[in-house]
Amino acid sequence: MSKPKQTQPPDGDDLLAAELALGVLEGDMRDAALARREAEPEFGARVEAWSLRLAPLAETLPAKTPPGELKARIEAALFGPPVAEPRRGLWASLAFWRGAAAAFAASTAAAVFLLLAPGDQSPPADTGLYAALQADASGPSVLIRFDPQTRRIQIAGLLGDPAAEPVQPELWVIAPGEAPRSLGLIADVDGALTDGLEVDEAASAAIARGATLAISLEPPGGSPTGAPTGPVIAAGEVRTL
Amino acid sequence: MDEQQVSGLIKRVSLADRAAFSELYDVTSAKLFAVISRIIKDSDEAQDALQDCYVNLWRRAKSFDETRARAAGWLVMIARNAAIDRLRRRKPTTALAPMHEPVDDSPSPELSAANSDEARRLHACLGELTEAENGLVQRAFFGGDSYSEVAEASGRPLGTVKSVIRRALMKLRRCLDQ
Repeated sequence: MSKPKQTQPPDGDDLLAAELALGVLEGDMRDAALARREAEPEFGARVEAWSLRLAPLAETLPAKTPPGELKARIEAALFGPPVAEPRRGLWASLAFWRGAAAAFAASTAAAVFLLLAPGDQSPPADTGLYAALQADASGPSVLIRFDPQTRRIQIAGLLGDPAAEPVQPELWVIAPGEAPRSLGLIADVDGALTDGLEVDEAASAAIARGATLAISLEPPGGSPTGAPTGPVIAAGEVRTL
Repeated sequence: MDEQQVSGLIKRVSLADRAAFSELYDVTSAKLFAVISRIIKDSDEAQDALQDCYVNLWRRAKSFDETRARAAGWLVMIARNAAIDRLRRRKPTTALAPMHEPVDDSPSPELSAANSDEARRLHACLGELTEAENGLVQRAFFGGDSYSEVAEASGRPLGTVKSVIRRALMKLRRCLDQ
């Protein structure tokens, strides 16, 4: 208690936030604290900070697998009944994706430099892989940078006009001879682009080997089947610069 | 839990990505169910709380900020909140108090091995508390006990329990801020 600290000193509010985060409050005290958490962002931030301070305690709890059927129940509660049967039409066909990739390949080089030019020169030690995804002159134009070290994808560009129906763009990697594998949705339903995606090891290896990346438009929530179901709006090959 | 993987999945879930949600559940549910099951002993109700937890997680994924929170800690926060919300909601109508396990104020032995820097620091700070302070904070954290439940189970006066836990929390704050 001797010298002032950079962080805010503990006070009554901080103590209340700690008690709420720990969970020891009950009755009217708890209700009042919960109401303050919702109404006052600063108090809410204190409660969250305390929750995060205490959370590492749970790290060493032994895992306990919940009953298997619970996952389906939770997904049904959030998303409605599951899709009856995977649809595997044109968009899941490997031949189609190969064709699409070849057709789009010609435009990729130009797009890479177009999109990179406004920024700084690439650092000499840049080990990243790039893919420029483009459909046609009027279509979306997306530059994707992949860092094999961090397995992180960064996405920049324009997705074009929002569609009339609610859809979300989903990014796919197509390794030579393999079916498309989802890397995830890249924008929310309002079209706001994500700043990045983490990629698992298998997908990372596929990208590093030289794959095609493509974006399809999927129903909100993403492809219900695990394979692309909507129109491909952009595709391009991965290359080093 | 692999921090980078889970953090990436939460960010994907924030875009309403259902495949990412499914994967996140597979990777994290056993951990979060463990947290919830310690707080809610009844199995059906613990499952309901796990459902609350993942519904909240789906809705609140956009508020996850990896610069402010570790993914594992953020998930534990959502899980504990879901469990304690459920516990406190049913409490006022509970005429028969739940049977309490015998109280042991000493920290659980399973907590000796922590693997993240944050956990090691927290344990170091908990180690600076008195045994009673440390024991009551951990009892409240793991069991989800309220002040009066801690008092009842430990046979200590309510006022004493409150002051012990409050003093422990303020000591923890000072220690963690250093």
